[in-house]
Amino acid sequence: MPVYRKPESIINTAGYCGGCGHGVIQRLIAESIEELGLQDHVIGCVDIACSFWSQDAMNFEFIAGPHGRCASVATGIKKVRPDATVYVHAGDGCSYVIGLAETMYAAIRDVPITMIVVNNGIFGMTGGQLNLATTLVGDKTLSSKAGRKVETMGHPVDMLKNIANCDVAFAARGALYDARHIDETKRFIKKGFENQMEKKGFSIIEVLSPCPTNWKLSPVEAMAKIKNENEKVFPVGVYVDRGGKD
Amino acid sequence: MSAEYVLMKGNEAIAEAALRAGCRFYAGYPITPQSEILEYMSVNMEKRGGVFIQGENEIASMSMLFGAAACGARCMSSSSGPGFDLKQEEISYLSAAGIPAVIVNAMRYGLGDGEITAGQDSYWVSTRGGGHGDKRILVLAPASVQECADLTYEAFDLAEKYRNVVEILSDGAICQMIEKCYLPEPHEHDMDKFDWTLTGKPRDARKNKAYNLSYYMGYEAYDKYMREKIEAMFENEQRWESFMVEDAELVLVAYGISSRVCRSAVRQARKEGMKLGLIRPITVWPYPRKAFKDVPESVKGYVTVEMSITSQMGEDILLATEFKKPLYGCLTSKELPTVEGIIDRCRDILAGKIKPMEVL
Amino acid sequence: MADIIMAGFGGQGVLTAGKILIDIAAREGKNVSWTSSYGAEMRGGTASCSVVISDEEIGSPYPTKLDILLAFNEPSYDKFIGDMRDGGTVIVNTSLISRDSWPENVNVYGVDATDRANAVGNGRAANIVMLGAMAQATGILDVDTFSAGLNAYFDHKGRNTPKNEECYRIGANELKKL
Repeated sequence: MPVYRKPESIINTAGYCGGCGHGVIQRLIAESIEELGLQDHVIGCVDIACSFWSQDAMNFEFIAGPHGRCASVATGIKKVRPDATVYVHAGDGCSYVIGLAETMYAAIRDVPITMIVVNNGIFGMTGGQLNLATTLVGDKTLSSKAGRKVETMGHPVDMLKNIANCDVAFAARGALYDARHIDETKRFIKKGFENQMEKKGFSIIEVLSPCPTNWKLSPVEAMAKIKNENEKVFPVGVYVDRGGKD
Repeated sequence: MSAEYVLMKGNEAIAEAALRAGCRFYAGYPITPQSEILEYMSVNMEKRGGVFIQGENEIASMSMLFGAAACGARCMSSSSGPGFDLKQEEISYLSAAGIPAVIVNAMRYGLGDGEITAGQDSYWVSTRGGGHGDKRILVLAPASVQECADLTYEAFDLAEKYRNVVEILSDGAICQMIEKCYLPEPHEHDMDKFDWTLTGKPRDARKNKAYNLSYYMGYEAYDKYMREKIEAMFENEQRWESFMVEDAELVLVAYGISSRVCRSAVRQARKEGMKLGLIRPITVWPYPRKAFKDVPESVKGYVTVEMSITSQMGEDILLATEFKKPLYGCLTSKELPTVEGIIDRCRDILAGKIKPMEVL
Repeated sequence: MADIIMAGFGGQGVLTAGKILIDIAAREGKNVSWTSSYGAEMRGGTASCSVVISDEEIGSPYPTKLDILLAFNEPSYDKFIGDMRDGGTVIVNTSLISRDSWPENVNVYGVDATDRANAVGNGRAANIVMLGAMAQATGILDVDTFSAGLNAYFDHKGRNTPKNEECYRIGANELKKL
């Protein structure tokens, strides 16, 4: 019988809304770091968005980069502190929209950091606007009140396919809508940190995560939406696992 | 300082002096007329055990610098004109978090793309800029290759002393010219010597966060900290050179490339019987208001010599002189000022043919 | 002491000629400055550099009046000849520049720099021929001092050849008053 134990690296509550996936992801990060024994030499990088709160919740050193620039900020850190475990916890607006260039070039440079991207299909911190990369066609947001229209807003994009074009160590997508998928997501995140320990290169783990507040759904309904809609556009699984190459 | 001179460009002197100051992180993006800094770093940074990154753009370059500087490394980036505009976001973030860094702005002329040739119309973006929010950037304006080296070397100390961004404001003429330069002695920087940096501390240690100082200090304490820091920089760091102002009828005011021409003009004018003097700001923020206290009451006015369309430095001169003396312009826009042009202008001013300039 | 412009096509070694000159003058204790029309040479147009050599502090590195002009090609001659001070010295590359008459307010010397450099199998050294002619015509620095400095410059770069000295001597010996 497993015993519930809070990771010691989580020392505070964060300001996440009820039913938000950020807290689960934060916990998976903490568990992975602790299971690998890395917690005494970690620098986290959060975005100026919902992941920001993680820096108050976790017992690590943190930097909150300019919105969208997390992959670059983490690159700078890793270059001068190569022995520290450096990770990014950022949203899909940061990583795939305003900071797409920064994310892609961290991948192209194959910087040995672990980047966790929260795909919740919306701009949460700013109150629920369209995310050009991840809002599904037809989904209503504050800036697409009639639903996302392809004619004017284009299609959502599976950015992991783009990243898979780069020579990176690891790229995978997980989800949080049931225990099995949470376990799988944890394995992906842990793999990302293992790769960094072994100096294997850039690892990116995207997580399909609910935003009940801005989706205007109950937490249970939000999980169902991910399973029935979002995962259809953004399939979970491993996109790149380069294996032993250094 | 080395006993032997080297002949090098202003850009190269900046890059080499930065390396000798212990700068071990450079990220930037090419743009004329400062690309030699990036090129020099690409050749030499790794040899000194540092990190060179050619960024995908200015913003990413500065964001990488933000991360590295937050870890305590001595960091530099450089740009010009439109490229420097893109750096404003991170200058604001660096300022908010109190993270030192040295940024070079080699001014080129004009708006938008402008020209690749020298200009001095990025005075405002340098002295008033740095993105949103209330802060100041320490801005050092070299007028020779030697000063490119000396001021860059010292800029890192100043940046760390005040936990502030320091800008080297050169221009397309100063950064491209070759002169003799005596380089400073190499210095190794200890990136672990500060108590505010990110090192990745163990679980029982107090953790640092690189983010708005106000978030952790509270606004009242932060406001006081910022006000006192800005006041201290203003009081302590004004630098200038005064040249023959003691008996001057007209005092020229110029920095960077224009100040070199002005010195020649002062000498030449005095041979022709016209008593000119020169105040050369070395810091343009803080503006050397103290320099103007030494000018005798008998001076008939000041002449700002700048490569701009309307004067950008003029308002700083008016503040420094407390509006007590007339201010004239010798504004050359895209062209470098000439000795003849300055002397002719001053002759006309003294003859009453030129009206004082209205600062817009 | 001397305000100088050297100008020609990109690829004629104009900028290097200026760097060699300041290197030698600096060794002789002079203040020097060098600056180029950067950017222009990247576009396949003319390349030029301004050199100031002085015993005093140097103001603008971009002289507007010239004591010495090294014109490597026609467009450069046309562009800068009007900027000469009376009594100044002009060295023209007569391989590429011809005129029926030359201005009288300046001393004009010619040398077949391009042809002679090609003839000794060192086609890229037309700039050194021009420097030799300049040293001889102006006396700005002693001809032998200049020669030693030239060798020191290329030795330091690790790419000296006896042909550099040969080209330099050709310039110094074969220049003609025009």
